[in-house]
Amino acid sequence: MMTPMFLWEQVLNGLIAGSMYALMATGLSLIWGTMRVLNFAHGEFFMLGAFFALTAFELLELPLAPAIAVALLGVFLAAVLVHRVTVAPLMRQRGWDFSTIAATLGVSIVLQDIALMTWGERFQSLPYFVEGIVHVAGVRLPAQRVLILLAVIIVVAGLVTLLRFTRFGMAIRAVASDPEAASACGINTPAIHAATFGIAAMLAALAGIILAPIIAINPWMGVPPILKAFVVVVLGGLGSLPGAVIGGYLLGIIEALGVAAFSSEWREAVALTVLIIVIWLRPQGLFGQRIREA
Amino acid sequence: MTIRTWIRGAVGAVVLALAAGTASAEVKVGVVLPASGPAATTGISLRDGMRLAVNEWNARGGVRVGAGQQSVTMIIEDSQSRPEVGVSGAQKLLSRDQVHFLIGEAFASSVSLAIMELSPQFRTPIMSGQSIATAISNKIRDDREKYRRFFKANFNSDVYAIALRDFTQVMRTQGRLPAGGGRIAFVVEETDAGRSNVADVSRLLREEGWSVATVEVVPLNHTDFFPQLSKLRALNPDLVVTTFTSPQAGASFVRQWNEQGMRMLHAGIYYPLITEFARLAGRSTEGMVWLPKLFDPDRVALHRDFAQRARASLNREINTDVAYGYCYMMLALTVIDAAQSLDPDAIVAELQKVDMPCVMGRYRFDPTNNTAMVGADYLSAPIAQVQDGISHIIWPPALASSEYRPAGSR
Amino acid sequence: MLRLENVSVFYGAFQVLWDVSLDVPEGTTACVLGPNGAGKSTVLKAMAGLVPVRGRVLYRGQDISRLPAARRVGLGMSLILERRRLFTGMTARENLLLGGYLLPRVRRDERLREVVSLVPGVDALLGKRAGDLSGGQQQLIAIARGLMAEPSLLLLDEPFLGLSPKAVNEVEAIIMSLGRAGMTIVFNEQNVRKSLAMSDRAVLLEGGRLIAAGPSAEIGAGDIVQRVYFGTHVAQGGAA
Repeated sequence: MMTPMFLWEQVLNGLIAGSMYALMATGLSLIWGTMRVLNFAHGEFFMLGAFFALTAFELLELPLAPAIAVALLGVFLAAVLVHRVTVAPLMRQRGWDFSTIAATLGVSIVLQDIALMTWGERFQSLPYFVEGIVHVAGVRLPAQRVLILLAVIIVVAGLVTLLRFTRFGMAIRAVASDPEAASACGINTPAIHAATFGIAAMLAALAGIILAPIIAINPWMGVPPILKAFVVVVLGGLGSLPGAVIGGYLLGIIEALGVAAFSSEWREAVALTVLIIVIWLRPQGLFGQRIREA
Repeated sequence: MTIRTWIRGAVGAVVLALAAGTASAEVKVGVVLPASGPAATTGISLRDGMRLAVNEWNARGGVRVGAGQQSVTMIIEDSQSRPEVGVSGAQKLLSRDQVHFLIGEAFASSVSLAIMELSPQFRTPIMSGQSIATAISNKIRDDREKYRRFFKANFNSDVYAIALRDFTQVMRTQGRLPAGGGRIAFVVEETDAGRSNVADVSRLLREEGWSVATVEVVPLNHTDFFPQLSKLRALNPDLVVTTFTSPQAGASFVRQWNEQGMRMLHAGIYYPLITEFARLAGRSTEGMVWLPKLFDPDRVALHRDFAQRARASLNREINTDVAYGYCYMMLALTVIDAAQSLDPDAIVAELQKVDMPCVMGRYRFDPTNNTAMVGADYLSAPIAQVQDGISHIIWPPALASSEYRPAGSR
Repeated sequence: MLRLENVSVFYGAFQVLWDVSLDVPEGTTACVLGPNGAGKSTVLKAMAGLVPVRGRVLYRGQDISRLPAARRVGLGMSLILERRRLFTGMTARENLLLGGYLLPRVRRDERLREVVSLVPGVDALLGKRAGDLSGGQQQLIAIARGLMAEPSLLLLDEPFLGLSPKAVNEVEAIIMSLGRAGMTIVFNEQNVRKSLAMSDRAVLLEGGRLIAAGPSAEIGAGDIVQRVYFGTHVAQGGAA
């Protein structure tokens, strides 16, 4: 049964699932890296992205591409607002580390309730962005899934370009490295924090939008992905972008191969076992750095 | 308590007692059902179906008691789907109202399990309705004497397994499945329903020479089935059985199954019943086999006739629950009529030998556990196939509006 | 050029600076003196806008008390933080470019070339990862990064801390040359003699209060410094 073809098919399945994990974890890691905040509301931006796209597509009757753009912009603004009213004021206090966890957890619940009141609990769905079947190296795949793979690769490449080669990206990295020194360079640190929060939320929203045709849109859809994303950032190393991306793909592949080798029932167990081994051998995660001095 | 409220209560009790006294020339059937709470919609439908049966009997002069006929009164108590509320309602019906027959509970298994413990204290026959829990039947089987007046008018939870087994037998005779038994694979949700379906189906099919290729258990609301589908394709079983309680998981599976161009025989249990499922799955359901398609007023003549009659009388949408409610009350009144007596023992004796065709199937009780018998001829979980966008019952033959069509024959 | 008027600073409920008033004239080099915990770094951070203050901070007559640090950089103030505080994961060149964050792109690249010529030894370090550099090299990059913003006022917090004697001499030479070139400089440093020798004016703090301020030669001539450092002086409010 374990033919090379079958294994390759599972690796591909894992890459596709993993690309969504990577996208979620990248945002989570970006926020942690720049402001040392564990954003428990990250899954809700995944959910909001899907609902915004659905509303733009069905209610405003926009074509798909503009609907997605509107949804991403909407989530960016929503996230900046959330940052401004919850995270930013707390970060100005001393000893805010734990209070941001409590605050983002609260935001998560509030956003779920707002979604429930706005869109109801009925499961909804977006149409496939692309129809048809594609054959990738002998494996039959729906075009929508290939789109997921490509979109995530493009987005991650775009993000790396932004961070590496633009003035804005350098400012984000500077703030991540040392916010006080960044301020001393003339960088508006609070604004960079807000923008980073918004961009990270957009990554989650994009994941939600691309997945919307495959999974049903509902107010609680953000919960499973954020749990996966937490596993990924621990696996890859908190705050490390390569860690988030590679960790995401790795988790996806491990899960798919776990299903192949054992059974679906053991999927989570196999993934968590790998995680425990990694933490045991490298407590800082695959790509994490040991906690730097404050 | 003030004097005034005390007086009001006393007056009320006297009026009730008088009312009960004047109604003594009637046949009284007590019903415990969820008229409020989470299952209220089902409860109301059941009640309407029962009312239809009572009206039909009364229009014909009532049920035979002794030499004459007596009209039927239905007394309803709300259980709110809660065992303790249901039991107190049943107690009231049995002691105060002194009903001649108790349908209790008409829906929730948990309430029926509680009410059946009242049975040994009363001579009145009690029958549960839609409750499906196998535990009820097992209790009766294990203590026949104690529960001899308690009957279960619905099938056990292994009905799906039985239907699938019977269906595969037909498919084998048609040469569509291996004659000596094939290989079965499961993809089910991490729920009691999922697990018990795996246990029941694999037990029954193993007896027929089948082997289990794999059991894939996924978490609730799982939506990415590609790893499972790849594995299924590699294993290539003869039959894939899926059970989900969430329509989103079911719809994802069916859509991805379709996208991957899977060709095996696939039977979905339970989730295709949920209204949301059809909307989410869209055209991907084409060709899928599923169960139970309990009520099909569009294509099954028996169901259509009932639906028309019921709609005219009740002036509401007619669904599975209305039909079930109708059959439960028909059962109660048929056995009283056959006994021609309100003596509990005579009614119980008639329940033991009743053989009544009704809109949802033919009712007969298995003497070993007082449970409605299951099979193509009795109650069943009819199996349907989506053909050109419409779910046609393909098994049992008595209800079938079409035959199985293999994938790709469109 | 820079004036503090009755500046107090609190860390939470804890007051670390009490009613400090001082004046740094344009073109001078001023040193902030005082024993450990006197509030030297806090004075520099209050000037740079990295801590919230009570009282007024005036820059070229403009009240900048409520202006965040990043905006003060745009006005021509540049702070080089204690212990260099480079962006260690980035190259020296990226650190320098970030120092010129507020400059237009073309001007920024131009300024990079100017700064390289102003601070000897930086050129060879540009391609290296900042975290891999020695303490002295890091301080050169930190100063160069501070200069990237084209400041008129340069604030240096403990520029010699943790450096080798050779590196101390290099850094000292650079600061002296910047002062000679007319830049206004405020720095603090533990070594009193070196500080007084390098500066035109001196400010003496103790326990968060201003003890003395004036020309370095005058401050050095009296015994006030010795009394503060050797604990014989008792701080009194308004002793300035």
